[in-house]
Amino acid sequence: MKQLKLFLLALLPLFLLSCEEDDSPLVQPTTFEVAVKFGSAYAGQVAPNLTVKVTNADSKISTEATTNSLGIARFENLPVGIYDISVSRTYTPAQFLEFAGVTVESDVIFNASLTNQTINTSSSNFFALELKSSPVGSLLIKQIYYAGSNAKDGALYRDQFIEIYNNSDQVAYADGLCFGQVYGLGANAKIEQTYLQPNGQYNWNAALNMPSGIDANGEYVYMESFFELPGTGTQYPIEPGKSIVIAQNALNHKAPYQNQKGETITPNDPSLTVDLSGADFEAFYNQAFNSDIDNPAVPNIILHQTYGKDMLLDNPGRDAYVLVKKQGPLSSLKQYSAPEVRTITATTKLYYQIPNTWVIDAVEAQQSPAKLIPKKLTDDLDAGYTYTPLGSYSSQSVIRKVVKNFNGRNILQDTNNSTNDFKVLDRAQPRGF
Amino acid sequence: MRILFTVFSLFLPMWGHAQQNDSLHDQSAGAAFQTVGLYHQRLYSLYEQVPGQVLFHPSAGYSHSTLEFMRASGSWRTPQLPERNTQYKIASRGVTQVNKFKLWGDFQYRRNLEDSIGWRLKPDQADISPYYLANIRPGNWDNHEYQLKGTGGVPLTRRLSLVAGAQLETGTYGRSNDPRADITRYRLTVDGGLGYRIGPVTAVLSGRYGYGEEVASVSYQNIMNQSDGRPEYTTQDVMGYGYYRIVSSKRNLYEFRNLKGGSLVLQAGQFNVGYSYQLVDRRYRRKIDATGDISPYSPIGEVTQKEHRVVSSYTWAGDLAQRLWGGELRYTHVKDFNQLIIQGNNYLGIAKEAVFTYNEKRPAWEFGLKGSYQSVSKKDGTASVDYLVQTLTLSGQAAKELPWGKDFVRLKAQLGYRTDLNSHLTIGSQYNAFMTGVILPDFTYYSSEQVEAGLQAGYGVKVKQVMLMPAVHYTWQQALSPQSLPQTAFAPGNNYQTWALQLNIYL
Repeated sequence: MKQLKLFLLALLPLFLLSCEEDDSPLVQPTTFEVAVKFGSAYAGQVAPNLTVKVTNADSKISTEATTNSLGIARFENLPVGIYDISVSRTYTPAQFLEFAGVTVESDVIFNASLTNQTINTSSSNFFALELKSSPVGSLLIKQIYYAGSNAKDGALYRDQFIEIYNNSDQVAYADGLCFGQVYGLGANAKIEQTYLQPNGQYNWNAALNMPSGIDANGEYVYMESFFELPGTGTQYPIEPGKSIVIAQNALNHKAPYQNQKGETITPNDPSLTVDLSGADFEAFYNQAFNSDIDNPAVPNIILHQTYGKDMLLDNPGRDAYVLVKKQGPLSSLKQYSAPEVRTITATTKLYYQIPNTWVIDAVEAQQSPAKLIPKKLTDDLDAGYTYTPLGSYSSQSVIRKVVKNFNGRNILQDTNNSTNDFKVLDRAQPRGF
Repeated sequence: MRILFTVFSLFLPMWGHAQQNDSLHDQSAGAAFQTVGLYHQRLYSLYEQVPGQVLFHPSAGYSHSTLEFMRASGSWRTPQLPERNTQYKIASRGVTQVNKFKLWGDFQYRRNLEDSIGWRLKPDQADISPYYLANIRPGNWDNHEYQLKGTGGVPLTRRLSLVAGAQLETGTYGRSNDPRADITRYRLTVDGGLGYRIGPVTAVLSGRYGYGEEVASVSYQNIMNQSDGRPEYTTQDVMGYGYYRIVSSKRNLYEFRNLKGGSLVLQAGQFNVGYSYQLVDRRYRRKIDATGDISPYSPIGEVTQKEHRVVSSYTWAGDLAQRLWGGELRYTHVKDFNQLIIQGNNYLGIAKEAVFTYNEKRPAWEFGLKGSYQSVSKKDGTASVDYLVQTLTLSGQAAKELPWGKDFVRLKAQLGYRTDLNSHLTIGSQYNAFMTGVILPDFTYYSSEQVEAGLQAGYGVKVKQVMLMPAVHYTWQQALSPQSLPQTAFAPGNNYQTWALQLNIYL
């Protein structure tokens, strides 16, 4: 027994040591506030009783809080991380009349968002959102198939298409309709801060020859590609609940095709790609690009500004798309160089400046929530973003959700927030839902 | 042959069986039996943990080599533990006296095939560091590990003696399903110290230094598995116990490890006590594309690991029996500094362990009793996780040799019981995938009542100067009413079985 006591005595020092340092981690869950108000057009009044949503980019867990009478939503005890913040408010015509004293024919939607916000103990714990609205249009971008399909088994990127839908109860005309990809920066661009907005996107106010006194970032978009549909004005009607498909190549991509070199390419798995032989329009650049094939039975779109040697949509998904209804001749539009360009020469690329008021629909796409690039579209055009979860060459497309159906006519969701409005099709389907 | 084995062993260093499991969770260690001589196995293990102990090793010379094939399977596990495990092992350990030099060494090679491991892209589930790569979907691993350890001591004068040691651990680890992890590791540690005798007491003070590197890289065979649409395949940076982030760019993780420490050993008669302390700094970096003066390593986090350890033994004899008291205490403190998003200390882990054993060896049989207390605390600040598991384990084992002509049969039986001591778990308002996939199953697995039983039979035959003992082992772990936690994404089952075939060679 004596030996045992000695033995236990010798072990005591460690017990003493083990009592030290029993503390807690220094970093704790964080608390932050989001203040929401309307834009200057509505006197910057606060926005109470709105649901603000924050989504953790890693866990994808969303948390909601309601703004108080001061327009402030408080989020308590959330994990540190990267968050997207958004808020939306829809007014019926009657509600909008009461709110703004203005009579409108359809719902008015206000949106505001911030993406990719780092929230930790050293960052700001206060975020301000300003609600902006834009009209809900009758013609919408319904489906965008930018991902393409498997390089060997499918059709690579030559089967890309965009689908435009008539969401109204009236016939609309595609004639003269314009669309394109918005020009902007990717992630972590290494250019001087002067040429950047706080969100990392181009500061167009700093572009050469940009007039002072305009909001070059907030009221315009700048086109990387810009196309127009042909027609006499009433040549290409779109019936209510119907759509038109604009193909990069209006071919049946499920079948073998002959490229410009005369080689026959056969998709090993036709189910991965789409039949675009029935497309309404196609892009033909005629620049000897191997897969740029002209289908004479399908009208070609008018190329005002091009990017690449075909209507190539960024297949990881880093494009923003706009649908434009001209409010005047295109010759009235200005063109500007990228903001960091300091000298304009004959070879300097210039980008069409399109007023937001011409834009009847817009969709921001991203590669994924984990790989966000600075948003190119303002919140009034698109407060969110959409993406194909399986990424490039996955055969997936993004497509608007159906919210209602009237006697077989689908009404598509359009809240000017693509995060909410779009879903994913595992296989792109022209004219599908 | 004896020389060959002795030389082999002496250049094959090891720092002790009990240190193999660098774990907050070593209560989960698989049920491996000591193959022969309960008393001496325990005694030797108590003398093979701190470098200075080599001077007092109770054996004048032994050599034990093992070839082993082991297979384990069952449902009583967590997602980070294998559903099936097949292991091939070659090990050799021994002590010898060469003139004035007392030398101890150990070598081990293991090939481990592990099936259906989820939520970790790191080799050791038991690794105490909270920084590693992970993905949800289970996959299969093929691991190769080498350990080479040795310690030597020599008296310089009547009072003064010198000890020195080194250990090298290397390994390659690969996962054969997307995401495919490829990991290489080496860790080198050296020890050196002096002993001094005053009257009946000898004290040995030694220092320790070590460094190492581990490189993990992850690739995908199916490029679509990298996409956001397949979250089970997505590679994550785990940086705590509840906090994790998607790795969005370069899928690699470098660990640079530095170790400093020291130990003190006291020997008086049959009483031996050793205290050791070590401070391990583990720096985590991601290799990125960089040019010019920009560092190619982007910081992720740093982990500081402090370990205090006491090992003690006392032996005495009488009534034809040899008796041994053994005790081990261990305290480990782990703290991080996150350099990705958080910019601060987010994780705190504390593990405490106390093990007491009593062994008795009689001419015809021997037995051992063991009681252990273990406490594992993990706190993740930003994820609001407070995890504390405390358990008490009691076990006993007995072995008997039966003559079989010129040879003998050795039989051993073991029984153990683990009970919970007021463990608790609190999680904040949000349950993320790591919490439902790892933390909740961990809590069920490590805090539930459990019994363990095992049998071993060996046949000893002497061939010239070599004792050969083929042996078969079987153990069975059974959970007793494991609690099912709401929201858990994985419910541990009921039992886990291990069996092994061994060829033991003693010189």
